[in-house]
Amino acid sequence: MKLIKIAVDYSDTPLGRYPADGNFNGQRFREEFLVPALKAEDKTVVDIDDVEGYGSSFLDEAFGGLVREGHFSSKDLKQKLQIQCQNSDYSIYANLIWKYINEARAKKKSA
Amino acid sequence: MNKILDFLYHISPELIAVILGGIFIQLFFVRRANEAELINFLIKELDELRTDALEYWNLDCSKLDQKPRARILEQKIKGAFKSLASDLNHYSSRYHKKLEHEKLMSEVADACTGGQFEGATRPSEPARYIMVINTINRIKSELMRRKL
Repeated sequence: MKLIKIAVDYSDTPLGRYPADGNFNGQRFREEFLVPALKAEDKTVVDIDDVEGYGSSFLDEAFGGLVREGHFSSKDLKQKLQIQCQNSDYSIYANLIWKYINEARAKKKSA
Repeated sequence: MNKILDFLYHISPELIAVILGGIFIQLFFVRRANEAELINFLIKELDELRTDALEYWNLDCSKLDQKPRARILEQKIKGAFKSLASDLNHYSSRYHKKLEHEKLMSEVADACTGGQFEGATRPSEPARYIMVINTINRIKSELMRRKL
């Protein structure tokens, strides 16, 4: 099992979708952290606590992008990915992450 | 003296009932007043978020003079959203009211911080205005219903 704590391992101020938007963007997090961990391990836990705030653009690119870019299906992700938050204030972001993963699958089907 | 004590002895059950009733009624109304005050505070937070989000999506980040303001608003919007989500959780647990706020807040997140939010060269997106206004108004209506 691999644990990725975004605030510690990546940044406590992640922002934007693409590299042009900033160093700690969603695409980089997906390609450099999520994809390698999900491919190498049976289970990857992403801890979303202690970040100053997330934009939907970052979350959608990082997590929804896993499905959109064809790395995994949403069904695979339900088995391999766990979003963890101790602080209940962050539960809204966990819900958003799963929403983007599920919506990305829907977009792929309708395309 | 005996007559007064005798009188008090006879009316004491009614007196206690009236005092207890008064206390309970007071507690009820204080609770309602506190809840209404918290709802007013939440609505004020929502209004501020709406104002900032509308200004943000009106800015064109490909223009150098508008970028600094956009960068400030991005952080304000993310902070306001996080604070609002936390306050709505508090409201829901404090008053044991099942708000569908998580679903509504996810719509607000999409409207205010979705798309090209924090994009380096994001153009102005007037089409987002109506999304921002409608999603925030839905939460406000839900809260107002609780208040009335």
